[in-house]
Amino acid sequence: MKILELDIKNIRGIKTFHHVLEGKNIVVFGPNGTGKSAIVDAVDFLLSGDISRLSGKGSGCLHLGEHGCHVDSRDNLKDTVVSAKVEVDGKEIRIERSINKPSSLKVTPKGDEALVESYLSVAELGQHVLSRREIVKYITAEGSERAKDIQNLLDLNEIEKLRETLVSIKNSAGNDFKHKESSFEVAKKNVANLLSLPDVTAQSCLLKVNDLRLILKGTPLVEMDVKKFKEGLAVNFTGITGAALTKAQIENNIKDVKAFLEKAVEFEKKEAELKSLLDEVMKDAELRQYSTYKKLFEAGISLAGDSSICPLCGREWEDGDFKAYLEGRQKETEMGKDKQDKIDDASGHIKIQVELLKNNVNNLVKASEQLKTEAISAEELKSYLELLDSWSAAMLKPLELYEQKKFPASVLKDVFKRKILYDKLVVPVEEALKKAGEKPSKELDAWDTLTKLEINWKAFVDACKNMDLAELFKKRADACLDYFEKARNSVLEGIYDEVKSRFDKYYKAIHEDDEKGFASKFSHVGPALNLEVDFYGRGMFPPHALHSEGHQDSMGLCLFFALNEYLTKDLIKVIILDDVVMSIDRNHRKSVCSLLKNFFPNKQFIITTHDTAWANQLKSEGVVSSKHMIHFLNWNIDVGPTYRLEQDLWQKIKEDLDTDDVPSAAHNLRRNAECFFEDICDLLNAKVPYKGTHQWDLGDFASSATTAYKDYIKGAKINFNKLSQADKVKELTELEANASKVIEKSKVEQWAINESVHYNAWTELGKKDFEPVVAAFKDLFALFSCSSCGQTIQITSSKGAPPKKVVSCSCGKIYWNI
Amino acid sequence: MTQKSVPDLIYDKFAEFVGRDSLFSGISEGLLKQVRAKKKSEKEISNLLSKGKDEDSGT
Repeated sequence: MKILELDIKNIRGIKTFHHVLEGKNIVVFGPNGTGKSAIVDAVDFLLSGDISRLSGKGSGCLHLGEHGCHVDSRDNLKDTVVSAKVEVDGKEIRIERSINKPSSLKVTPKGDEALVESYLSVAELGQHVLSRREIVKYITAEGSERAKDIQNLLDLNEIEKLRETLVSIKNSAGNDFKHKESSFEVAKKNVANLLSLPDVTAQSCLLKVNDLRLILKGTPLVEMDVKKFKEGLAVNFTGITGAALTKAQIENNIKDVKAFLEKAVEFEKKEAELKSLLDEVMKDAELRQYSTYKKLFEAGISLAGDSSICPLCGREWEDGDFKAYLEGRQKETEMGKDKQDKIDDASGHIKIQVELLKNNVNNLVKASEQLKTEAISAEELKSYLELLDSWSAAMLKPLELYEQKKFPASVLKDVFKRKILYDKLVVPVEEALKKAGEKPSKELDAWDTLTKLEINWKAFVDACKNMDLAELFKKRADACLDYFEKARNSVLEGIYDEVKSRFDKYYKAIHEDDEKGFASKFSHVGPALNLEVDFYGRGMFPPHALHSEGHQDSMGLCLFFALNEYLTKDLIKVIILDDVVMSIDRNHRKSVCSLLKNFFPNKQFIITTHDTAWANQLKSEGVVSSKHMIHFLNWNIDVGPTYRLEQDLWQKIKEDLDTDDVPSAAHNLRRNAECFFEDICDLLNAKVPYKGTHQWDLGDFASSATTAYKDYIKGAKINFNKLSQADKVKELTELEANASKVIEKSKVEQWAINESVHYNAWTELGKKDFEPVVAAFKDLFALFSCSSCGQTIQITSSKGAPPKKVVSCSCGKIYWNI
Repeated sequence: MTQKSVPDLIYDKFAEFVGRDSLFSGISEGLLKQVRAKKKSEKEISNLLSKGKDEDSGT
């Protein structure tokens, strides 16, 4: 999509603006505050429905509706319109957008909406506008900040949000599994205690159930089916609910608590082991973030390939050492994984034991109530259960809590406190049980056990199923995050490789003279994107570390182009460069012009600048033609900018002379001639006499330019003579004779000797006197331009054997090998 | 004319990985639908991932 005509009404500082662009590049130039940026905003708005300047950083209180229109049009938004005739796929259509309805694009003729839809969805990325402050955003930003900006461009915010969601799901699934695992162990222990079994299996439980059924004169079952436990029993005690604990259950719980007390030292060792692992991991970031480091070393191995140069710091290693080093470090990350796995095991073990103990404590409290004996006080029990809960919860995320210094202040020794467990629970319950005497009858006890088993077995089976499901959930959540990060990394690495290769190519095109061996390095660790660049072969550094501001501007421009090409896939031809080369020197700006012309011949650049020299350079280098140079002269709030098209100089002077305004014609000629010859001196490497005041004038430039011109013709003639190219020699001889006449006529050389005369004299001349001066200068200007392509001639040097110097135009009609 | 966005490229690659892993059989379609949805729900994704292998995937 290219813009053929542009109309702006009541947008930002503009009241009305019209220009026929013809799909060509335009330059909008003029002093600050004349409304140039409003052109950028208007085109930005037309293409994207937004004005990026009003939505970027630091623009919190700015809104399109209130600040996108001309300040006097806030109450009449219907009259704030940008419209353009555009060319899409060879078809001319008109598009129009109003701040009144920014999301609605009017397309004429109707029915062509689909034609522009895909273009405008790309434009919404905003990757068609580069402003000065955006360069800073690309180049000087920290890795994580740059990543945020590039994430915006690549539309990666939703990807990062989804990744965070998957991380959260993974953590929940891990915790859920730990919960379900300990619930399963508790349910299993309850069955084991009820049936007085050392371990719970379907077979061992079935044997026990059949023993109990035998007591109650029932036939044996073939499988553990809760519904059949009490089916077909000859003896039954319907009405007994099984709510109270059996004697065996109480005895088994007492046995368990005693066993816990005996194993207290073992738990203390486990706690010490866990804390030592946590200390180790906390001290070493590499162990703590082993998975990130692992990815870093893996990326290093794949990037280094067979090279022995580190892609991060640029250090050169002895052959083979580098890869071996990275492989060694990669293996070391396994140690981090091993340590974190051990932490998981130890904390998981402690959690299960704490939950089992809590279950025993609750059962003994229930037993004491059932046996009507006084045991632990309610207050003490509450605080003890809170202690157990705090340990159980801490074991879900021990590393996180340890890092935040929120790990339980107590020690496991407090959890296995003899004073509470033995003195206040085991002893009173045990004594009360002895006093209670024998169980009522074997049959009643069997009935009671089966009744309880109905509940406990169902709970055990459910817990088993829940644990299996939780394990599946955990495995899927782990895999889901892993696959998602792998997918993201793989796609991003592909994109960054592509962008890097384009970035290097463009930067080298601008800085071929001083940074031939330039290379960049794009790497991303997690979501952060790091950009490093070579600094004269001395290693890789952040782009704003050692390079000059001008070089940083070039980098920003090149990174923008590299991203633009990737993101717009060449669909959006319009690229807006808003005051972006300010720190780049004149020589490298020339290379920027070549970059625009040679690498992006099919793009349409809209360039704004307050630097007239840069605007003129864009013209002299052929990036933009005179008729698309829009000069913004002034601005006021009622009429907006005053601008004029850069007229042809000779036409402008003719108009002045037609109205007898010789002083204006003289001023125009002098000012333009001075700029023109300054450019020519630059293009021809002419020797301009040095002045301590740094104030050169037309006399200096014109004299030096014509001297260089004549010297080059002489040099070229000698060369063509050597090559026996008589026709060329003849052509140059004629050109030389003509040049002498033209130079003589313009009396350039005399002016250089007595500059005060020509400056003062011009303004006193009449129209008839001045016309020959104009004619002489027109001929003089023509000497330096090609009659075919209109381009000014320039000298280029190429190194080689032998080195070559050529004066030429861009079409090649002028080609003097000197 | 139409080009895939970067998120779409990532989702495609993710779908490739998920499609190859039997751990996700029965839920992959629903999971990818959720992942690609404009409004993604942590609860919905969690529900899908925690579904048993023999349960209806709900898609």
